[in-house]
Amino acid sequence: MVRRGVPAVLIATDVFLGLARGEAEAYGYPQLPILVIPHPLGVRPQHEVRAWAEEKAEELINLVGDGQL
Amino acid sequence: MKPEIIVGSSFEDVYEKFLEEGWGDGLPIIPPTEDRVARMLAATDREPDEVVAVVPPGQGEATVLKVAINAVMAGCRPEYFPVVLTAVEAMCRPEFNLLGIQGTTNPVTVAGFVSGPVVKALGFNSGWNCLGQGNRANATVGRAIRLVLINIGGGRPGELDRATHGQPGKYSFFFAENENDSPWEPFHVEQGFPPGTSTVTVIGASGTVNMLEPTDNAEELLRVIALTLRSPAGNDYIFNGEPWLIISPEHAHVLSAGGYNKESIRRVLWENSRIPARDFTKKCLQYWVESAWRPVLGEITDDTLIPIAESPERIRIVVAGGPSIHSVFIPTFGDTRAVTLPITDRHGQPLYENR
Repeated sequence: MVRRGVPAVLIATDVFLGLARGEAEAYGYPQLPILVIPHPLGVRPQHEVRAWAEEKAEELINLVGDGQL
Repeated sequence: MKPEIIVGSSFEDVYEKFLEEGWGDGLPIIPPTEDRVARMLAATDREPDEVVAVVPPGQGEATVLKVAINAVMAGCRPEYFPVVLTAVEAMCRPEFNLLGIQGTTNPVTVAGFVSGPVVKALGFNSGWNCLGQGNRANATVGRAIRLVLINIGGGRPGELDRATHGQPGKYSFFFAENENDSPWEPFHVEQGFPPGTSTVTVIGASGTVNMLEPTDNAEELLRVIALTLRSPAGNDYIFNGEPWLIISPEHAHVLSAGGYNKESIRRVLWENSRIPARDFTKKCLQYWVESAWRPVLGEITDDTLIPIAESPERIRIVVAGGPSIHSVFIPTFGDTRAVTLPITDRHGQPLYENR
């Protein structure tokens, strides 16, 4: 997306932050903004995920500005 | 750039140094000294600095030299080297999705097999225990692939390899087609290569499921294989995959005697291995199954039958193994397609051809 000029933010749970950073660096985007959320995501009830999304929305919007690399 | 080759004072020193640097799979390695690497390089006409492929997710350039170093470490004989080079090229093709395979939480590994005269020429094991220990070609070619994934592709556990459990096949998973005991045409011919071509196929294999079945009735055999495939927590079903079957020669002969060829086997298995959408968890349906299958099947209801793969052709079959009444189901990563390449020299001329 960044390559196509679209601002991008990567969302990763904390235990996958290393993978997210490692892959972003390997593909030439060490500055790619990453929004970190607590693990786990997969087995979490949907209402908790929604509550988290609302809580993190502003942080995400701020990071989108940083996503124009 | 010529990679630095560290020479310790003893075999153990080199092993310790390599472990410390994270350059390996944990097992002892053959120290890649200059003379050993030179012997490996002499087995190909490709230039040492030629880039065979870029290996995700670390995006390391797999030059012929770097692959040679890993082949030495794995214990390969030099004559195996063209097979390793071909496997590396194959697993880095985009349709194989090595980026997904390396970084995923799934236990998937790069499995592979050879078909054609290379099997006999290099002494690969296609018979008894062909997925197990005991044969140098099988063991070390598979291990060389793993070392390339780690040392060039950056697939280190907890770093860019995020497998929840992994699987024993991540050390080595390489075998050969048992063409002599198969009732059907060789795999490489089925793939459109001229008879007598040597090929390497790579598979994104999540494990092995053994199937013991003594029946001499082809329909019964297909019925129980189809039942064994059915796994609502399997990536092939969830993501529209490409499952593999390693049929033993004895089972292949039961099926062939019953009038089946690979095409009709695929059709029967595909039809009878479908599972109703209600068998998946609601979350799995909502997150993955619907997005993978709605474009293919339309709206998904509880009664929609979800197949293991989009079409019967996507069920892949190879004959291998020794005597007795076992066959093997290889579930895959799902979002991967196997790649088959001919083993050639730098000019594209086939190696190990039947003359």
